[in-house]
Amino acid sequence: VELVIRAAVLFLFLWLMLRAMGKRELAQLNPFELVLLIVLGDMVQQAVTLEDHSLIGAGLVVSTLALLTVFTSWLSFRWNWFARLFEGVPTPVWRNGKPVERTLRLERIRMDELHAEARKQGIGDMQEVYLATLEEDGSISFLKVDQAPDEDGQDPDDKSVV
Amino acid sequence: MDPKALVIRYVMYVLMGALVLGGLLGFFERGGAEDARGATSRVEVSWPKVTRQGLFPTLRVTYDNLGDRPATPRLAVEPRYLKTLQVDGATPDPVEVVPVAGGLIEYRFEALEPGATLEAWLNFNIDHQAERFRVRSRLRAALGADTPVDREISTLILP
Repeated sequence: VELVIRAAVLFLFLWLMLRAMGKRELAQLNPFELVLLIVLGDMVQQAVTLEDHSLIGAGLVVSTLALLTVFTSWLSFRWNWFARLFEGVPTPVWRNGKPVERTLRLERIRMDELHAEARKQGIGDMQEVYLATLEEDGSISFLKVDQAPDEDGQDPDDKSVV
Repeated sequence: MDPKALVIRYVMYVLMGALVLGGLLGFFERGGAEDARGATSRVEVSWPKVTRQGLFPTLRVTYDNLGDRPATPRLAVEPRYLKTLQVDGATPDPVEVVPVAGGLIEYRFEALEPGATLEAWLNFNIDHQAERFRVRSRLRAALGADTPVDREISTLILP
């Protein structure tokens, strides 16, 4: 019983911790953060299994974490509000040719980082960008000005409506 | 999606669910207990009924001296039980450990004054070399001339 409860509590704690760290941090770990994460994993393992080195004990912890992951994924699929709560929502960091300062500050993204991300996607000038969004997984997606919807909100590539 | 992959997925869900449910219901770690009273003593015993390799279970005995003179707390089990569960020592330190009638090993502790209580336990350290999966033993817990607990116990050792 104790192992299952410990694993479940840790699942909740890790989720809160990862949400608190911010999406960007997880997508772009520097070497120090990577080592920290590995050390953290080791400590977590010790806290969950204590002195239990049994095969069944390991199976119990792994099964608890796996079932909780499947369950939360099902809840996210079933209810949007849960998906927003659990996985977060895409957040614009650049809109209409201007940075969204508040989001950049909250997510601790420097302008040069944003430029670097744009360059990786073949965009040399941020003025070409209509919308840059920090996605749920921490990556940044870019929509160019020529991909921006018209003033009436219609996608320029959509030829279905004349 | 490949039907075989779906089958594997659902079989795993059932297996993992059964494992977690079994854990929550205590199927993989359970203890037995007995609370008995003699003419001049009360003895409470608890032992691991189901345990796992890699754990450190204990066999605990609490002695209450209800008589009017000091009495020696004694705990006897079979050597095979101690060997299988890989006994790691007794707390508090016994005064002596001697073989007694019935092929048992007896731990004798410091005499207990009238009205006093002693909690004693045997520490086990079951590693992955445990010889068998189920071990039975006679267990005798006595205080002075009183033997309130004299019974058979068994412990199942899971991987």
